[in-house]
Amino acid sequence: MTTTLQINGSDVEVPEGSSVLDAVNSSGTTISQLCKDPDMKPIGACRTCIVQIDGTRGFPASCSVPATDGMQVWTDSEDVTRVRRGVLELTQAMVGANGDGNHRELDIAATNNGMDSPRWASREREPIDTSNPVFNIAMQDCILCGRCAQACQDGHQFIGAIDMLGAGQESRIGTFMDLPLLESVCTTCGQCLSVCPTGAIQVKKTPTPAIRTVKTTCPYCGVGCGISAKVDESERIMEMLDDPENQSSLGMLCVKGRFGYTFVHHEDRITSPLVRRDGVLVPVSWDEALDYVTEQLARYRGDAFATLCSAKATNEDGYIQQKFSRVIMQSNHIDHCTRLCHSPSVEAMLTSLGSGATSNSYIDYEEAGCLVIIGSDANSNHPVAAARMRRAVVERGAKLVVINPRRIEMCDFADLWLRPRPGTDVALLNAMARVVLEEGLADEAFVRDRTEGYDEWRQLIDKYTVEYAEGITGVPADDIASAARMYASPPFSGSCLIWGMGITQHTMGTANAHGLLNLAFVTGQLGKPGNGISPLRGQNNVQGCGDAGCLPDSFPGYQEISESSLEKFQQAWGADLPQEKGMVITDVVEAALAGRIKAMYIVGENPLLSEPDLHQAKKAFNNLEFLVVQDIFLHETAQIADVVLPATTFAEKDGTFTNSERRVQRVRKVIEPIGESRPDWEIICEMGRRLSAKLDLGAESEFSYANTSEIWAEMAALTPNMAGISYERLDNEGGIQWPCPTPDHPGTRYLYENDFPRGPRAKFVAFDQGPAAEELPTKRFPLIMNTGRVLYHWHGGTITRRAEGLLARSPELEIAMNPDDGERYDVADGEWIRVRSRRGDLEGRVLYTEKNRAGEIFVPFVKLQKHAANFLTNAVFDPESKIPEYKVCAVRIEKISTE
Amino acid sequence: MADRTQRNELRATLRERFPRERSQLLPALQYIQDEHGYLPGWAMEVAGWHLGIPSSEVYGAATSYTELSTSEPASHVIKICTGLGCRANGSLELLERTKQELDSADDGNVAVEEVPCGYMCAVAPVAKWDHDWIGRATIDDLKAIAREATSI
Amino acid sequence: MTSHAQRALDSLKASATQRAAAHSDMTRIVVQVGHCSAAVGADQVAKALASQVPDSSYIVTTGCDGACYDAPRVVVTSPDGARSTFSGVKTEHVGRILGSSGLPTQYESADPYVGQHRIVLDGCGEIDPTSLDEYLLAGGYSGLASALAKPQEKVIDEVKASGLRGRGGAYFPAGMKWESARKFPSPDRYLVVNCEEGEPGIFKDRHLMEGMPHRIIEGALIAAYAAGVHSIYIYINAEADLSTERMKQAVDQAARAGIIGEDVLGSGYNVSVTLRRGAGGYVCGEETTLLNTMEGDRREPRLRPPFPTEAGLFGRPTVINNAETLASVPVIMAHGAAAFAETGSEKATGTKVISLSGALERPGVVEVPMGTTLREIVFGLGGGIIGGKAIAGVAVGGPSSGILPDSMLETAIAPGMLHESGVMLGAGGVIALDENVDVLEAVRSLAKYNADESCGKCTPCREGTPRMVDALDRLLSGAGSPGDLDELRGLAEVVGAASLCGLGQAAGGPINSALHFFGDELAALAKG
Ligand SMILES: Nc1nc2c(c(=O)[nH]1)N[C@H]1C(S)=C(S)[C@@H](COP(=O)(O)OP(=O)(O)OC[C@H]3O[C@@H](n4cnc5c(=O)[nH]c(N)nc54)[C@H](O)[C@@H]3O)O[C@H]1N2
Ligand SMILES: Nc1nc2c(c(=O)[nH]1)N[C@H]1C(S)=C(S)[C@@H](COP(=O)(O)OP(=O)(O)OC[C@H]3O[C@@H](n4cnc5c(=O)[nH]c(N)nc54)[C@H](O)[C@@H]3O)O[C@H]1N2
Ligand SMILES: Cc1cc2nc3c(=O)[nH]c(=O)nc-3n(C[C@H](O)[C@H](O)[C@H](O)COP(=O)(O)O)c2cc1C
Ligand code: SF4
Ligand code: SF4
Ligand code: SF4
Ligand code: SF4
Ligand code: SF4
Ligand code: FES
Ligand code: FES
Ligand SMILES: [Mo]
Repeated sequence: MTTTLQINGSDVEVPEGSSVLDAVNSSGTTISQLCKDPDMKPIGACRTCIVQIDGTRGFPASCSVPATDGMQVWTDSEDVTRVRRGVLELTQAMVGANGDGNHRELDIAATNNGMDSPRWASREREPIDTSNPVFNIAMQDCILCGRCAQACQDGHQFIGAIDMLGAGQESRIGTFMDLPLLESVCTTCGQCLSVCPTGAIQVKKTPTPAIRTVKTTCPYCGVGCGISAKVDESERIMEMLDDPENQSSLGMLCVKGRFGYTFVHHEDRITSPLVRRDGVLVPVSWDEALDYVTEQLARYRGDAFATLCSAKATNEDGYIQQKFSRVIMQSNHIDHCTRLCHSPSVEAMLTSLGSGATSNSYIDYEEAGCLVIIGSDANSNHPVAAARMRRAVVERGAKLVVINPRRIEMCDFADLWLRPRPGTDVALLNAMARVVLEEGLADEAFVRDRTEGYDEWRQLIDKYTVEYAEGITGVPADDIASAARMYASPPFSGSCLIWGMGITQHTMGTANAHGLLNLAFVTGQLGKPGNGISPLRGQNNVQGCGDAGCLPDSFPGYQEISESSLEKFQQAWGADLPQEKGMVITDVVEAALAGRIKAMYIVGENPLLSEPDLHQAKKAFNNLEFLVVQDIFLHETAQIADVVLPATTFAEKDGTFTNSERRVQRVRKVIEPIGESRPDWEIICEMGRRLSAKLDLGAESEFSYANTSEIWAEMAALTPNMAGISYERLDNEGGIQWPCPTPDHPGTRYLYENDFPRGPRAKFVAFDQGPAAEELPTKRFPLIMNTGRVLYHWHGGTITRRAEGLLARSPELEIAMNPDDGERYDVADGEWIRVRSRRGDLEGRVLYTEKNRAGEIFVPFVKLQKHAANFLTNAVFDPESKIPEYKVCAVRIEKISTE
Repeated sequence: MADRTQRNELRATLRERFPRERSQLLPALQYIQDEHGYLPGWAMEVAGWHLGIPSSEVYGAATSYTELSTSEPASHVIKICTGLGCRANGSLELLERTKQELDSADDGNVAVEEVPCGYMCAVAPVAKWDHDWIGRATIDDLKAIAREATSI
Repeated sequence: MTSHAQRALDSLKASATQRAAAHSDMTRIVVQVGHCSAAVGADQVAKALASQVPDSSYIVTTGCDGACYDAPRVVVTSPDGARSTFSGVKTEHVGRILGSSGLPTQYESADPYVGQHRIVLDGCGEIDPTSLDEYLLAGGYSGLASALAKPQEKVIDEVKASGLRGRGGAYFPAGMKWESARKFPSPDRYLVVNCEEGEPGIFKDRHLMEGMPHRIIEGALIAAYAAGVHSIYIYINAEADLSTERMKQAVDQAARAGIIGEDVLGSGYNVSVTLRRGAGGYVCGEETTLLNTMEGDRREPRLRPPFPTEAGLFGRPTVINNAETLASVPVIMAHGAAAFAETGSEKATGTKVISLSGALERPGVVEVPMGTTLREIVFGLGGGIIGGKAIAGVAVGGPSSGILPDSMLETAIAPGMLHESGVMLGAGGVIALDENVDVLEAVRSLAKYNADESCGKCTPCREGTPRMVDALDRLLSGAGSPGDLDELRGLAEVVGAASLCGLGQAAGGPINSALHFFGDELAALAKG
């Protein structure tokens, strides 16, 4: 349906529901509109979009008047023009005298209305807030349009760090109690800055003019936000913008996406291949490096070779790397960081459902009636997905249950926060399920028609009364019950289960994951809009890395290694392939220590910061005879490598990332490779061709591609779930969610509507609560150390330490601790202390916070000032998935005598 | 800054008095102001937690209402109405005299302020001593009251 | 046949009559305590009386009758009906009022009702606002009873026929407003009674809440029933404590009597009533601002559309009416639209409650038929300027309106504009200025008020209103120039034409009326 009206006498047709301003804009007429953001609701504050409408008295603001058929609108009648100029005069006089002289949209409006210097001197305004290291807020340039506050609140981010404060002449943009921005809950996401029409909110160093803009995808987390990079004439990225058209991020970004890109141009980038000569890595030519690698790797084909793929690199990179390992190196010892991450989730979902992916989409969070966020700190680790969760709560009144030993920001929005003892989620989840059954909240039809294994499971969980669970978890019985009720019977729509590392990184990781799945099965919260199960994927392309077959036990598309699949891929790749499933990375590390694995090729991962018990891990990698690392920075693992190959970043190559909601999105080359660096797939292909030639395997053609779309096409052809996706479609339609079997298939928002990859029935798998953790507090090591992440750093920090803005926001290792522990161990807030476990120690600054329960400290595993949590963590593993128990180890606190 | 117990107490009270709905913000803030004579930062924060409203928005709302104050008031406040009804009955003179003879806000004692209307214009001129309104007010009335309440 | 509601009401009245019998042979001593009479000692007087009252008499604390100039007032009625009124009573008079024998010695005072037509205020200052019985015996809630016996459409038609328009200042036809809310499809709807009364020079809603709370509630219940509303919010000004107290008592009583709640008067109609307090500022009374404050948002107006009758409180269709508007409704339902329409002028039916103040002999609250001239109000009811001094002008309708010179006193009060320069009746504030007041200073104070009360949301009002004050100050300080007059004219237009809400849209009023009526004075200043 459309509406037709007249703007200045000529017909304009607009979609129904458009405003008069939309109509004016689409008519090609230019009119000032300072407080209306294209992506947000009208505010109606600036009054510069006023028009004259026949039959209506006064001059209504066109942004807030719905367009109706036959309306006669005048934007340029003498009267309305006079009044609009008057309004602009008053606006101009707010910023006229001071400021940086460039007031963007306001200046343009003034010029369009033929105005020059302000009519009045501007009044005294509040001082500039320079506290944020990335940008300033200068009221002296502010016209109080309200867009920034809207962007920080229900317009976009649902953070609410800033708001319009005061009234009348005292109106101002500010934080709670007018504190400096840095002391507020501001996450430096920059959304406010991106909507400010006058530059009152502005990055500290003004960007140089852009010569082109390239749309691509954020290289940080699994949310997969759309970004567009602006490049200046020195071929540097000078600004990163959000992408309103991106269906995953809807125009939002977090601090890393908007300000974290500067690592691309960091001086530490590896710009040429390095080879170790008499103990030191020296720059060499590509030929030299690759000849050397070829000659070496030729000696380690088969079981002695293992490779780590990069969840940061593209699908195409990953596909080529696993193909290289299988076809050329004849080894299935292929893995990537998912092992340290969601392997328990994948493990459990493969067993119970037959596929290891998130079942739903971010839009299902928005439509859900209840969200249960367990073992995930989405606000800092999946910020934009978290914003969409907050939207559900704030805008639609969805119930929110947070289950986390630590008080995370998200608790501010929660109806219920359960605080289990670490490692006791199995008991908690079993008890919740039992409540569901007891109170008749189960979805019997679903259980009857679509599941199996119910009876055994029912028996096992029978002893998990809420009281029994309270004993184990420390969560009040009533809270367990109400959480179960909220999840099983949401006020409207369905319920979503959302989880992260707090569930997986335990020796009970897989048991935890099954606990969650069982809960979803018994309540039937699966396979409909507004419900579903979401292991939030971590790395920007960890989903894709698995999809592309970077796994020891399956080919691309999770086609498990079997006679039939072998047949298929040997056909496709024209080579014999290793029959045996390979080892997972954690076993590879042990095998390396034992000398069974002799050579490794590590692409885009840094195990010497991310593996547990680093002293031990380092022994293992040192024990290798030949180690090739391919990365963008010379990190801890690279430093002990025999050869280091310089890869390009996401910004210097084409390809695709697949995000946490299974959306395949384009990565587009923004700038030429820095130095001699080359895209991963090119490097690997060249190695493939050289080795094939040397060993004359006749596989050269298998590693010759003109571009990444050829690689994608090959992969898609071999992967039924992706068969319908092509670069052409991605460029025309934007991201597409797999499964997408055919070119005319729209993609899939949620899975399991009718059946499951494993068959018609999902499988209940029962687990008992085991010991909470392998290593529990003792007299000598009385505290539990929980490790994880902070908003401003990425894992070990290899990248984020090289992005000024992010480093400035979080320059020191902070040890979060309850004040009671502070007193008990006599360390003050802000004191520099040492934390020691049986395996190692670190130093950092004490941060007093009520967020942590006494007895449990939290340390992010980023390495700062040489200190990293993984020197302390415990290399014990979940038997099913082999994930390390990163979330629990016993430590003690030592004072550092300050001289 | 209030200690943990003070926060928890307030949170408990708010929980029993006001349902967790944004529409309860004003009633909650009015309750807090009645309790403390103004809105301490920590209390606004607690209100935000309870009602699920970001503290900046609590503060943004609080600072937009003339009857709510986010800073500690002087121990006594005399308000003199300078609306038209009272002007026509000599309130400007009354204001002058009061300022001269009673204003001691600097030492936090008695602050003299104007109000645009006391909504009892028919008994002008009108003044307010702390919470008590005085109709047909004279400087002597005010001095008497002040003498009683303080010891100027 | 009589309806359920009527029968329920009759039985309530019956028991009220019985209870009243207890006092029939006693002397009734009425003390009029309103928020402003209290400010001149009425509450003290009440205390004193209570402590000395003989067994032969009983004390009743009422609201005021509107004769503020005489407050505090005490009215004594002996069993035989003999009535004496005491004015300007102080505590030391109490003894004499009660007299040694307990019988009053006389003290006559002019009858304040002369020249008034009291529909809305009828009974104010006479019946006990805290007694449902007295309201019932005065015919209270019969309007509700007859409404409940009619289908909703009929009630709306009746109110439409009466020609009742909103008394909050905008004079929108009440019946039409109810109808559009009722017609808009929605699971629930709300009625908000606007008792914010934040406009300087207005004190009639307080007067009414203090003196006749049940009449407002009755009107609200009728409106709610007609508009298909099941929850009513009564929004009372932050400062109006006594009003709140009396309204709350009345609501509780009505609830206990089954007039509010489930199955109102056995009619099957359910309705809840909730009291809310505002938090200050002129703009708080603006209907959409009021909705924001009720939802916990900043004290700022909302964009229109959508209009409250489509998406108001909590996004639901909402009727917002002024207290006086609703207090005019019961009489319409009880005696019919025609009876109501008899009073007033043909283009404006009914009465208007006027808040009379300024340099007058007899300031107070009066109710007059629409169409009464300002002269009758100021000189008739108001008793003229104190000490017979010359009148300098009348500020009518508050800061959103303007000031008229004495040459305009023949103007008859009517909804909307009283003069094209922007002077309007508004909520019915009439402030007489004598020669001691400089009219331009008065204009300046109205302009300053608008600047101070601007909520700050929209640019023209926030930035323009103070600049108008600046220009006036330049003129008044003698530093003015002809350019300042143009600047004033220009700003008044821009602020009026481009502002978001009524405050800004009317903020040019005082300036425009000054430019029109006191142009020469201004021009003189402009010459410097
Ligand atoms: N800023 C930033 N974002 C990131 C990353 C990053 O490094 N930095 N990394 C990305 C990657 S790869 C991943 S995998 C994700 C990880 O994202 P998350 O899973 O959110 O990451 P964590 O912070 O490791 O752990 C989440 C929470 O688990 C809680 N937890 C610990 N033990 C338990 C327990 O026994 N039970 C329960 N219920 N909860 C527990 C912790 O308190 C913590 O709040 O983040 C991704 N996003
Ligand atoms: N204590 C503790 N340890 C943990 C965790 C925890 O919660 N606690 N979490 C675990 C989890 S969930 C994960 S996922 C792992 C993450 O562990 P890692 O994956 O090792 O961590 P990253 O620092 O993300 O490593 C990515 C590397 O890729 C490089 N890189 C970036 N882009 C490209 C590219 O395009 N090409 C190439 N070749 N390289 C590129 C970066 O420079 C960086 O060195 O950490 C695990 N370790
Ligand atoms: C600045 C401003 C202040 C207002 N203040 C009040 C008020 O105090 N009381 C009131 O009833 N209406 C007030 N109004 C009018 C209301 O917006 C609304 O029109 C009225 O309450 C509707 O009720 P009515 O139709 O019964 O008059 C005000 C309007 C504006 C623009
Ligand atoms: S940066 Fe983000 S969080 Fe901080 S104020 Fe701006 S929008 Fe709010
Ligand atoms: S800072 Fe910018 S966006 Fe925010 S109100 Fe001021 S002008 Fe508008
Ligand atoms: S949420 Fe994740 S994908 Fe989005 S901008 Fe932040 S880091 Fe990048
Ligand atoms: S306005 Fe009413 S309440 Fe106030 S003094 Fe006059 S009569 Fe009494
Ligand atoms: S006109 Fe004035 S009061 Fe109304 S919204 Fe604009 S600034 Fe606020
Ligand atoms: S754009 Fe319409 S009022 Fe600002
Ligand atoms: S003008 Fe003084 S009380 Fe209204
Ligand atoms: Mo991860």
